[in-house]
Amino acid sequence: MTTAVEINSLSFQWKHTDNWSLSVNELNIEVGNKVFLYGPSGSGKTTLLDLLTGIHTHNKGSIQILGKELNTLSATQRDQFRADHIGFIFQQFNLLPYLNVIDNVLLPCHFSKIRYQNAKQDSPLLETARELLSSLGIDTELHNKTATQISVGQQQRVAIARSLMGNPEIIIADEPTSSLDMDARNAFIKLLLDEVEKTNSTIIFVSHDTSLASFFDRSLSINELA
Amino acid sequence: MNMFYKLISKSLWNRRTSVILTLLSIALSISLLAGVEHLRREAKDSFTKTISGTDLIIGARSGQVNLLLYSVFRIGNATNNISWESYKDIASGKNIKWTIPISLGDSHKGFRVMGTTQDYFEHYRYGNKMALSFKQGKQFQHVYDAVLGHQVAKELGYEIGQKIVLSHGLGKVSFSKHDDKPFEIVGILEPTGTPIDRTIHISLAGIEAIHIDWQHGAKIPGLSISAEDALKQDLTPKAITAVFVGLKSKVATFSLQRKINNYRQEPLIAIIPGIALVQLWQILSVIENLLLVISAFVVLTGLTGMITTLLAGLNERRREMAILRSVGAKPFYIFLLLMTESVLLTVIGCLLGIAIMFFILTILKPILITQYGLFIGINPINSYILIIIALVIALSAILGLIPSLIAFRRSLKDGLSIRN
Ligand SMILES: Nc1ncnc2c1ncn2[C@@H]1O[C@H](COP(=O)(O)OP(=O)(O)O)[C@@H](O)[C@H]1O
Ligand SMILES: [Mg+2]
Repeated sequence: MTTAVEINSLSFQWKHTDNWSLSVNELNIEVGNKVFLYGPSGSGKTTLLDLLTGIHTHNKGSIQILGKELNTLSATQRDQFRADHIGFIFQQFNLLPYLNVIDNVLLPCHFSKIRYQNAKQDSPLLETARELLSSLGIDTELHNKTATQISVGQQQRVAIARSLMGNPEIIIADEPTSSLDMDARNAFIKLLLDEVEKTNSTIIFVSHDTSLASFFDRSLSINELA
Repeated sequence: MNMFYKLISKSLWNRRTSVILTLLSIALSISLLAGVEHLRREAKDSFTKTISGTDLIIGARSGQVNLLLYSVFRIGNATNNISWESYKDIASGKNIKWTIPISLGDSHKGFRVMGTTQDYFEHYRYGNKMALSFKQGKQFQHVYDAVLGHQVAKELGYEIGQKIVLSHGLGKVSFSKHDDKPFEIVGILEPTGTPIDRTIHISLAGIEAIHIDWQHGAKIPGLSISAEDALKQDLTPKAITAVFVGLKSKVATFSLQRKINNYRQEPLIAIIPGIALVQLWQILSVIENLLLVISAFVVLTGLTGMITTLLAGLNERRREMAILRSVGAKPFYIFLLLMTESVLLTVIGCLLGIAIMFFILTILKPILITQYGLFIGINPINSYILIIIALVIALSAILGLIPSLIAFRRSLKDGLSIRN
C-alpha cells in the first residue's frame, strides 16, 4: 500500500516576507487515513494544504503525494495531478453560482479523464452524480436548482459530492464546517466520513475547532509538526 | 452541451445586464461603421452608374456640379435655358454623333417630368453601357404620350393606357395643373437603378403643348387652348434645359468643350460627365471619410467598453476562477475562457450590428431614393463588410488579451485559496 502523503524536512517561506515560515519535519499519512489538522487562525494550515496539493511550491525538503515527488512535476503536470487525484471542499461558496447542482458535481470529470472514467465505471455519469447527491441527502428536485437557490448546508453537501466524483484518492477539506451551525456541522462530518469510507479515500480535514477531532482516526496540531 | 461553452454561456447569462449593454454598444458601433462603409460604396457605385456613353452635357452657364445634379440626378433646378437655335447650331456640328435635348420643370405627384426626343431611348446609356429597355409598351409617338420609369409605375400603380395629369413646377402637391391636357401612358421602362426609374418621359412637343397658353409659370388669363387645338400649332420648343452629346471621336471632347464654354450667342457650359462625377464625389468624400473615421473610433470605444466591463467583472469573478482551478482547470483554461468570452461577445455584437444595419437600411432606402436619387443595395453581406468584421474580431482578440492575461496571472498567484 502506498503512502498518501509523505513530507520530509519541509520548510516554506512566502516571497518578500521573512517574519513567518512554515516547517514540517516529518509527516506520513497512509491511504485511507482520516486526519484532522488543527491550529489557530493564521498558523499556516491553508498554506500547508496549498503545498501538499502543489498550488504553491516549497523551497526546501520533499513532499510526496501518492508516491510522486511534487517538485519533479511541471506546473501543468501538477495541475493535472491535482485534478486527477484530489477533491476539494472549502469553507463556503464552493459552487459556481450560475451552474445547477448537477453540473457543479460533474465539473471535476470535465477536467480529469481519470475521474471521468472512474465515475462512469459502474453506472452512467449522470446516474453516479445523482446517486451520490441522494446519499448526501440532496433530493432529486434540488438537482436542477442553481447554487444560489439552495441553503448553505445543502451547498456544502453538494461540495462533498463534487469532491468525491470519480473517486479521487485524497479529499482536502479546509474548514468546511465554519459556515454551519452545531447540529448541521455534526451531520455534515458524519455524512462526509461515511462517503469517504465507502471509497477508502484519504481525507485531510482542517479546522481551528478542536472539538471535531473525535470524529477522526488521527489528529495533528500544525504547531507540533515542526 | 460541451462544458466549456456551458461555462461561458451560463456565466454570461448570469451577468446579463452588463453583457447585454456591452453587446448593444458593440452592435450599434458596428452598424454605424458598416453602415457608413456600405452607404459610401453603394452611393459611389450608384453615382457612377447613373450615366455612361455621354461625352458632354451642355447647359446654361452655372456650376459643373449643378448642371450634373439637375440633368442627371434630377436634383435642384436649372437657373437658365438654352435657346433652341443654339441647340440646333451645336447639334449640327461636324463631330456630333448624336444629341439628346432635355427639358425639365414639370412634375407628377413628386416625380419629375422630362421632355426629350426619341433619340433618348436610342442613345442614352447608363451603368456599364446599358441601353434603356421597355418592360411594357413602347416609346412615345404622339404629343400626349408618356413613358414611365419603373419606380413611377410601381409606386403609383400605373398601367399602360392610363391617363395622367402633369403639374407645373416640382412640388409634390401642386395647385397649377395642366389638367386640360392629360397624357396617356404608352410605355414603362425596365428598372435601371438610376434616377431614370423616377422620371416621366414625354416628347419636347408635349412640353411645348402644355405650356402653350402659359407664360412666366402661370396660365395666361383669358387664354385657353384645348389639347386638340394645341396640336394644330407649331410645337417646336423655344428653349430646352440641357443636352446630352455623343461624339464621333472622343479626341474632340476637350476642344468642343472649350468651344461651347466660349460660345458667343449665349453663356453655356459643357461638362464631361466622368470628370464632373469625380468632382462631385470628391466634395462628398470629405464628409464621407470623416464619417468613416468617426465610426471607426466609435467601434474602438465599443470594444474598449467591453474590455473595461470584463476587467471590472474580474474582481467579482475571483471566486469563480478559484473554484474552477480547484476542480482542475489550468490557468490556460481560464485564459481561454476569457478570450472566448470577449471574442464571442464581439461576434454576437457584430451579427447584431449587421442585423440593425440591415433594418435601418431597409427603412432608409426609399428615403434615399426619393430625396437624393441614391439607389442603395441593402444586402450588407459584402466582402468589405466581412473584412470590417474580421478586423473588429481580430482587434477584440488583441484587446481581450488584457483581461485574459490578468485572469491567467491571477489564477496562478491566487491558486485555490478563496481569500477575501
Ligand atoms: N499569498 C500569500 N502571500 C503572502 N502571505 C500569505 C499568503 N497567504 C497567506 N499568507 C500568510 O501566511 C500565514 C498563514 O496563513 P494561512 O495558511 O492562511 O493560515 P490558516 O489557514 O491557518 O488560517 C498568514 O500569516 C498569512 O498572512
Ligand atoms: Mg485557512
